[in-house]
Amino acid sequence: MRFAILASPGSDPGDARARAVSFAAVDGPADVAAAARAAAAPYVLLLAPGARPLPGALSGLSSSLVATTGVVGGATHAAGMKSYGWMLAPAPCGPLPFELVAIVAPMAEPGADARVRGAVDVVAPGMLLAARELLLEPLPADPVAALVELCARARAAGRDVVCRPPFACEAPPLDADDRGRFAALRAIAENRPELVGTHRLPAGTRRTHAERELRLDGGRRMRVRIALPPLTVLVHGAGAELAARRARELAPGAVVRVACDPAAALRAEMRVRGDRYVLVASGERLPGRDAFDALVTAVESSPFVALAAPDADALDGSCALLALARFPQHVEATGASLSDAMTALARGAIALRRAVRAPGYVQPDPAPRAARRASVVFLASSLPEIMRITLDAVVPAARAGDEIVAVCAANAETTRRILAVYPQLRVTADESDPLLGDAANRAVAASDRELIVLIADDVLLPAGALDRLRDAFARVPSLGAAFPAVAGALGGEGVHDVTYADLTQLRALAERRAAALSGRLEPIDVAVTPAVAVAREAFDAVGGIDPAYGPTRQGIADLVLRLRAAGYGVVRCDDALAHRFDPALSHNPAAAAGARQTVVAPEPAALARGFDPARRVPFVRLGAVSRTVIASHAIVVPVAGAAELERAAVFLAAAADAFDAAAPVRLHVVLDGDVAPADAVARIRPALAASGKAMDDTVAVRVERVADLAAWRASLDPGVRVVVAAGHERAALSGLTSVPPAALRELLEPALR
Amino acid sequence: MRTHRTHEILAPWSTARPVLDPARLAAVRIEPVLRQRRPAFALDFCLADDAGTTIIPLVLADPAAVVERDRDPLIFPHGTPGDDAFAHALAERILPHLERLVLRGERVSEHVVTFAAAARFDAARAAGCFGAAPLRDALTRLAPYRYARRFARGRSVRIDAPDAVGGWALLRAIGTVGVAPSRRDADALAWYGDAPLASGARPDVAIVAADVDAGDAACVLRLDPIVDAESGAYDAHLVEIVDPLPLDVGIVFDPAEGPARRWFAVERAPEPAARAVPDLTYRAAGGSAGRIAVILGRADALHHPSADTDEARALVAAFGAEGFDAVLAESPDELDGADLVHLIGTRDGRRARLIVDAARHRGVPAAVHAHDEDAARGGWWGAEVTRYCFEYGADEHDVATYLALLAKRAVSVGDARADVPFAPPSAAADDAAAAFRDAAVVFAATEEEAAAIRRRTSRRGAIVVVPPVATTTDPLPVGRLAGADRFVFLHAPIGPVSNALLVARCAAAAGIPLVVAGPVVDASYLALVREFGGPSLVVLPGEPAPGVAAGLRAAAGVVVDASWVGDGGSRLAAAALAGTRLALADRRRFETPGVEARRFDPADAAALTRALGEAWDEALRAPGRPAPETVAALAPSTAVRAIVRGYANVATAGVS
Repeated sequence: MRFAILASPGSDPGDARARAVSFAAVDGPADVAAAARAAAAPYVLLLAPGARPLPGALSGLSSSLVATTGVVGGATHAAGMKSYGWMLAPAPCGPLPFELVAIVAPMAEPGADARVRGAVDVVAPGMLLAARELLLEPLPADPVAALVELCARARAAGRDVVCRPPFACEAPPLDADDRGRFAALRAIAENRPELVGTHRLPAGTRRTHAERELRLDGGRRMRVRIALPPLTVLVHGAGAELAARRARELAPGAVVRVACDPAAALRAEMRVRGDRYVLVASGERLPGRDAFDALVTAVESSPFVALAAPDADALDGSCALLALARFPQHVEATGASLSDAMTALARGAIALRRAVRAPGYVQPDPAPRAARRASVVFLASSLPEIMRITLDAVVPAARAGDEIVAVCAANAETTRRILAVYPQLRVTADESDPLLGDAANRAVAASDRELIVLIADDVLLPAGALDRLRDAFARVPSLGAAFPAVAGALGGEGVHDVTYADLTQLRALAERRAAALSGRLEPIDVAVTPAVAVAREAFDAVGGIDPAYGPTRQGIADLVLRLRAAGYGVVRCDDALAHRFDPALSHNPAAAAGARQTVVAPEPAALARGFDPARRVPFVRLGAVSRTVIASHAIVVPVAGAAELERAAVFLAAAADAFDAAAPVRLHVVLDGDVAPADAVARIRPALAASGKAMDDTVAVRVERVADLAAWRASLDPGVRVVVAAGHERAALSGLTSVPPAALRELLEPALR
Repeated sequence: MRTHRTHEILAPWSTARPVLDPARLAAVRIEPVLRQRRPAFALDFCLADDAGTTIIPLVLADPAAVVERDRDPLIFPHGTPGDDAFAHALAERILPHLERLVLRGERVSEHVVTFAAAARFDAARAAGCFGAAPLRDALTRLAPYRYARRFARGRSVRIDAPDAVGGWALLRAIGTVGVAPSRRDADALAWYGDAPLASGARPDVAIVAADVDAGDAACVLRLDPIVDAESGAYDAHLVEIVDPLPLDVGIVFDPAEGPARRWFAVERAPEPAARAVPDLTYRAAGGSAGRIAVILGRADALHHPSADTDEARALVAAFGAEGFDAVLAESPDELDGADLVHLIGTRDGRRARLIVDAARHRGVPAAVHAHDEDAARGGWWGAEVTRYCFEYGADEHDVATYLALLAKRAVSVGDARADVPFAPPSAAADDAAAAFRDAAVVFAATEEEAAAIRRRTSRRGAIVVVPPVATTTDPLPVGRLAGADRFVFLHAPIGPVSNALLVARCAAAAGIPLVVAGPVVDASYLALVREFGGPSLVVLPGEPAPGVAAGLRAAAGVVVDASWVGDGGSRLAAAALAGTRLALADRRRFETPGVEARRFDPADAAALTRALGEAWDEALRAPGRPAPETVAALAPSTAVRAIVRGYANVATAGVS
């Protein structure tokens, strides 16, 4: 290889000097051009100010040169990082036709060199080898613009621009005083209309990674490199079998399926969505690697792009890439044919203000959305004084077409009397659940409104808050749930920069926030306050409140997790400030139960896995309507204090393992001490749920407060065999057989035989 | 309504009674721009009825928010008329179009969405008027008038030049502006408003076209003068207008930002009123001998000069006068042959230690000028996090919220937290401490600094308290750069350490003219300074010549130093000797008799605004002059002799 060295001030070619045909010191673009014109060698090794080739940088370089080589760049080591150059990414909303995306990696990152080897849009600063003819005219003075122009010249001349990481040097980092760079880039773009952005990552990296825009707290967005989401390829039509082999090469670990009925296959594939891609392609139109990269780039160009195809015709399913996480669970691939299914998906995406990207495809405007009518499900279980305050706020918040359903315990007479004063309310009672979860779910199921507002009576929504929650759904059609900002709450809905001394101050503060933070939504992944507006379709998709938890912290967090995993947005509306009364003041059973629960934010991986419809929580407990099993055994579990409650939880967990809903066994948790029913329920439910069975499938448990154990025992059905959990010390139960947890499985053996 | 106070060119205006009926929206101009190096949309709204026009220029929109709607996507300029409902209704009309643009993902170019016939808008667009024409054109046309703000405050201005009506619109709030009859272009008048005719009286400022007689105005700007085609020379101060790349490069006169689109000349400009300056001629005692190598603790101190660079240069000059063979070394390799090494500043701890070790290996004493403020306790934190308050704050509410958090020291970015020591790796605090311990003599600015160094580094050797060495260059004229009025002056490398961004924001909020001069360390930071600095900000990028810097100090009413990490008090001493008031960050170790500096917490925008305002008021009320005790304490000869006395205890036989 014959080359001339053009060395900028402070650079040192080292050993390379001995191999060069000539050496010239240059300072500035005019010098470089003049020296290049004077050089005789076909290639020029250009060293930037301060650059020094690393030992062995030039080894094997000559063998990698071919007739079409235009510019060879390498890795520039500076400040603990390796720079490999830049990619020119699309920038449709910017004044320049491309955006420079730096290709960098920490010095110690394994495999980085291998991922960037090959074609690159712009080589790294520091050291490069260029065909002499490319340097005959002066380059721009800005070092980055100069590289962009040089590489553009090479491509315009039909030559290659490649990155060869072993061709490495040390060089000072680029000066942060880069004034004039954007002007120089604009000048290049104006002179070279062919210079448009295409990819954000070099080809080698695109095979394993993508760049995705993420939103940071506060609204700023940034791009981060992520591992390429899992890919499933559905190949259909003629030549599918053959194409399927090629499809495996599209991405590491790609799952390839040959689909005889592609519409059905697509529906099956979309059952559980999550952060993954599905490529639907006919055998003839299966994209090659580059075309697939282009689809991924299109999908990841913005977080709201749901579907991409190489052209508008391919949207019929002949070649289209779907980002499943961007199709909320209720958007279905309906239709008899694949084309119909794809049309349904595109239509669903567009209705949710998602983008469909395919050259030649003109995305129709989404239909204007009508305001959502709401069903307000008001959970009344706090002290009457508190309930009156919150109810007085909720009732006037209803708008035309709304309904308010108040849910209370069947035996809460005082509450029912208060609720009866409000003619706007429809009151429904929960016969069995002190936390009102069952009735709440039934009310949700019965609603025909487009928005469900679930609000506990220990949460005060100041005037206008409900309207602002409702507005959020009008602005963001893909929204699943919206929480008001709640002072001091532990979940993402909590705000901690607000203070108020009383409700008057709260209302004034809420008004100020409504004006100052109008329209502000903060996406959240976890929330715990039972004051939430949920889109009807989202509720339908993920089901109601898990009866294992009820509307406690854990129950709300679980609902949010299911919504997020199912592809719905969950937000905190900063312009709606709510107050939650302290459980000590409200005596709200769900709040009291929730206070003992610890909720952690879900792992991103849990959200990325998607929502399995098998986890959908039915609104109406199956057991509540269909259980016909007649109990032959009753197990008494007496609980007087916290220690006994813990012991009972262990016992009940064993019982849930031993029996299911079909077993003729009923457990009676009798509370004859200080433990409140709600506390007992909150502790017991998770223990039952730990068995892995759905709540409807677990053994029947009844929690009841008992003042007189002897009388209670006497009232039991005499045909039922009554036993008692081992370890109790009650005289009234002394005659009963004690059953330890380990012996529960044997309890029914004689009967079953 | 979300609002911003950035990129201030012209606030929203109306040509008659404001048109506040959203149904009267006639046209919206949409232009893709760069804001903080990210794509954004700039929108100009034009509402028109039979009586007049209301223009709301520079409404900003983040393309992502247009679709995601986690915020109101439109951020209106401060001063937008109407209420939230009006803004909301305007947004509702244009958002479907913006949404379509973003969702389709095709390249967006500058265009206009027309809602109703808008003859005035069309004519203004054709005439290149701001608010109707592409920013690249409109800003270039208004640029000379923006420059003229520094001359026009409170004065009479006659405009006889192209785009005169636009110039009137830009200057009318600060001066008495009239337009020559021939420049009253009907389209421009219909757009900007009824610019009055210039009176026949002699104006203070004349802004004229190339071929127009400027008369005897004290200040003359000539637009598009004909320069010598060969040499580009012109017999006046020529100012280039950079081809804008809105918004990051808006109206800019710095040739480093891009190619010049046009230029104008400041033919005449009055100088600021001179202040009595004491005679500070350096009078050497002489008789000293020996070779002293002065070297700076910042590796880039010669590339990005700051107060430490001034002090080093002043010291070298003074040593030369005293008879020493003094050199300013750039790197530790250049210390050979020195009889004493004098290190100025320890900001780069590794370099400081290297220099002190190099001196020890050569067997010569090392003197260290400390410039120590224990930057790990809040200094580096502030330098790291402050810019994020502006970058993450897309609108005025957010910026104010983040700045309130900054004042409470509740902002953290990565490892940079206020409640624990933080310093970047280059600061190498342990190495700096070792340099202090091992130096033969340490010079501190105050007893407090000396005590802090002893406490933190366990140094047992001598620490001599000496005043900073001020430069005493004769001031050069600066009227053409900064105008004849007083201003607040910030002279420091333009980067996060200087805290110039917060100063610019506070000065703009208080309506105080600010001149920022210094080498550009970080161009993106400079863009932020311009973005938030308001219309009265004057940026002079690049280190000014010593005489110009002296002239600016002498012309300034107040010199402000809000740096997170200081470079010594040389420039403060020079300002104090020039009789200029001082507003200083409370971290700064600068005390001198006769000077009562206004102190502020550099994290607290309110405190900074207050300190600037108080110092500014004092400067306007009572033009400063240095007190005799100040002159006595800060005279360079006093400082140099104190340093030489410090040497006396430690120097080898070579230095005497």
